[in-house]
Amino acid sequence: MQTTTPATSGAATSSNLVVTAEERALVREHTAKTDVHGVRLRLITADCPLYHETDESALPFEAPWWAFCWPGGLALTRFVLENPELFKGKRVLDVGSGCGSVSLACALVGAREIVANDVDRLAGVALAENAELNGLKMDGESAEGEPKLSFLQENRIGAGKAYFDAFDVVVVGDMLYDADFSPTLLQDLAHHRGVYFGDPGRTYCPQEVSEDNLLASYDHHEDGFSAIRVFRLTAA
Amino acid sequence: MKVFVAVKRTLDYAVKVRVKADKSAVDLANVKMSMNPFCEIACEEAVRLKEKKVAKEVIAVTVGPKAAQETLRTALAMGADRGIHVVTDMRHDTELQPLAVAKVLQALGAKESPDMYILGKQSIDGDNNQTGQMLAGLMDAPIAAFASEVSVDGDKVHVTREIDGGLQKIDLGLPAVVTADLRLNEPRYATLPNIMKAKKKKIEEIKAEDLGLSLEPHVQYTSVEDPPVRQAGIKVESVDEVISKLKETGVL
Ligand SMILES: C[S@@+](CC[C@H](N)C(=O)[O-])C[C@H]1O[C@@H](n2cnc3c(N)ncnc32)[C@H](O)[C@@H]1O
Repeated sequence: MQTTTPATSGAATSSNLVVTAEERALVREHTAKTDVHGVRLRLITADCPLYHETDESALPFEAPWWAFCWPGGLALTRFVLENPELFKGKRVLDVGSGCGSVSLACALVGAREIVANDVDRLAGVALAENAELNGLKMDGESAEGEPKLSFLQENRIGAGKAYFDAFDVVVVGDMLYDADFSPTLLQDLAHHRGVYFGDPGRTYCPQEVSEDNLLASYDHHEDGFSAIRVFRLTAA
Repeated sequence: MKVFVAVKRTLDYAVKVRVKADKSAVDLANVKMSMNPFCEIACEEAVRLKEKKVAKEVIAVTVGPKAAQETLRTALAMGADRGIHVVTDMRHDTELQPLAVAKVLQALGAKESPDMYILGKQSIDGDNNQTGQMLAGLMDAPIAAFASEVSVDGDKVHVTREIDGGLQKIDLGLPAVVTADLRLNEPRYATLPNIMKAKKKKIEEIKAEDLGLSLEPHVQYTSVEDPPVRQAGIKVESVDEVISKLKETGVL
């Protein structure tokens, strides 16, 4: 089993990966700058050749989940920016951070510490690129009072309630599509009092969310979805 | 409503086909395979019904070898919600025939109760144009073959059909079978994010034997031949020469 320093209040976590200049160049080469609810991001947009690549084996990297802002993350990014008071001064964990839009939104509204967590190394690279685009720094080089943003490349899904409880807030953007990890993640977070899911209604998304737990619903008419919802599982 | 869309893996429409030396069939070794173009149109129509909120779930179904899973993934990348793969090693251009596929679709339909079955009007390998019709026959359900326009209004499906003399408009009750003609729509290309998502969608695999159906062929292929090679033409020097050549061949 891998050991990690559990996030304890006080000492800020730092990234467990060192991003190389080559990796950053690779991300820049295949993405374009775009804007998601005011957060600047490098993504594979419809203007990028790779957007239209249909042969995954022709890609210069593993499936680039970090190169898109998925509907769940899109809604959560907006929700964070529209409800800064829920995130300001908080210690936040972003599970499956991908392009990092939700983490960056949290930093922009003044979260105290943000741990962006993803198993894909390139998600860390994308986060570093995107942080810079938004004038944010990684890993506590920032001045006192500025958000501490770090990247944790590791699987924490299945780490259990105690691990997640060490964070005031856990944000989960579009992570309810996978037979392997989604059910476990839902279990890990079932009782967390500061969890925010953003999801368009993927396979493992709970069908029924009580009115009390439904925090926002944004129209989203794409891919056969009609809305993306931001919800929690237990009342705060 | 729930929609079944049947998709078939065939030779890619752009490959030059070769006949096997023993003339038993077309050579399928090392040639590019794709989703049958009419199935792409059927799939596109099903996905559009979902986007219009008419369909709640689109289930793509294929009958074919292991590799046909790729075809299902293509359907999922286009927007189908999940897939069912009935696995068989029968050659899907000769041995696996329309009646067998229709029986499989009927059996799966009995479990899932879709309101609509959308198929391509024919596949470009066997060119049979029978599966949809046979399925409707087996189910005793209404069918609109050669659809060029489909809309759903409550429990009625309005279909415009392409027929010899022009267009025919018909209304069908549910469950209904619709087969797609060329002009029904222009299928979308899957994009990378959709392909990535499709990887995560569910595909249920069922062995054809486990369905307890008799799938053996009723038609035997005796010989497959290349089309005759076109004779080379000639060049003429003048109008007079054209006329005399035409007279020679008896056209004039
Ligand atoms: C659909 S993307 C969502 C990304 C982002 N939250 C958004 O909404 O745009 C899913 C992400 O989860 C990551 N992921 C997959 N398994 C994971 C795990 N066990 N722990 C953390 N992240 C994981 C993938 O690498 C990918 O970046």
